[in-house]
Amino acid sequence: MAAAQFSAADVLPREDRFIERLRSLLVEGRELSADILDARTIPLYVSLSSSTPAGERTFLVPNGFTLRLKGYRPHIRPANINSDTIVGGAGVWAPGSAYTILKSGDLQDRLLAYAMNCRIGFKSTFNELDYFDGGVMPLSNVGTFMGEGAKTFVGPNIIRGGTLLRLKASLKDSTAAISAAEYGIVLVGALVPENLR
Amino acid sequence: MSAETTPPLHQIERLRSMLAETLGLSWIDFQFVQVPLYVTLNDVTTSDQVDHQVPADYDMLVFQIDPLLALNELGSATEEVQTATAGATGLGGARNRMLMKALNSKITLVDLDRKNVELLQMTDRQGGFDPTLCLASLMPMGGGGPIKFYDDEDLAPMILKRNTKIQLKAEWVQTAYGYGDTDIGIVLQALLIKAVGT
Repeated sequence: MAAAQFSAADVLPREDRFIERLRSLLVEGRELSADILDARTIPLYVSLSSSTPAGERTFLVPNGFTLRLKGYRPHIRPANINSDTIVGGAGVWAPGSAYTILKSGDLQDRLLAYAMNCRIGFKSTFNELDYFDGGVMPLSNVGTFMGEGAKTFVGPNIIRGGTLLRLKASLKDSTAAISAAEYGIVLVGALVPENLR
Repeated sequence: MSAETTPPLHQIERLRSMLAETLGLSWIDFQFVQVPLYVTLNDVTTSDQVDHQVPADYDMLVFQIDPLLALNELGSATEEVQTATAGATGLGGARNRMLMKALNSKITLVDLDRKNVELLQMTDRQGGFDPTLCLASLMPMGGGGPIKFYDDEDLAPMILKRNTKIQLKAEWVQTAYGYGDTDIGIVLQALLIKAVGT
């Protein structure tokens, strides 16, 4: 009796797909090389503040490679963690005192406030399509603040070499007394030489 | 094992049996591992690095990167002390201190054998910003989560060949906030597979 063979027509359960892909990866790239298939993270973030409420950052996919973009993570990093607006004012809640949302709650609450105040757009110059079709995404929606968050595309986006990826970030409420911080995303994907499928 | 035999149901056993049949390797030639890479920072040691070498006979496929952060001096009377002041030194609670340090971090991972090429935070070298990783991006508490190079449909690991030397570096963005000893870094979730010719 012939050995059981997996084929593209088979509908495989979750674990089998993972195993089959791993097997094909290891068989195809038996001499495992980072030059053949290499996963990477790519940062795209800018420094914003109430005086600099908008900015953009680009990444040029190297020629000769294809970027298989699968997902992204949020990036928020205060320039000065000791700054009053991210870490908060002195002492504890005082009866009758008023605190803005940027100065209330625990640090996770304040970080969420920073995320909610940022809007990001992400675009490819290859086809001029916006990865957030229709415009901008609140950074708070990118991360796990909102449950799982919208941080993974359903399937990998194939981006050819020479394509410029552009991230735009802006503060929704630029009048808020907010200290400087980096805002943006970290892309998760893999670079594959263009002569390989 | 004959072709008609139903493979073991456990995922790892199925993986090993299928790969062994295809590649002619033994089940002992595969090992799922976790690689903790971290340094201990505080107010004095504000930057440090640690090296790791992939085993000589195995290639490493990295599928996921998790954050690592632990406060070490919880009982010390002089460290991690909250005072009723503004700013980072006045921030209390373990989760607040942990998130504060994660937000105040810079992480890099390089391949020492490939001219220090960045394994994390690849850039096109146009410059203009600090491309280091912020640990909070990998933490649900910080709005992020582990970096995964796989899912049900896609499989694209980071590949580190046998004997490769890698280096993790961690540093604070801002310093002198009364930080006690803190272990900070990442954990690689990987598969070691016996290298060809060994």
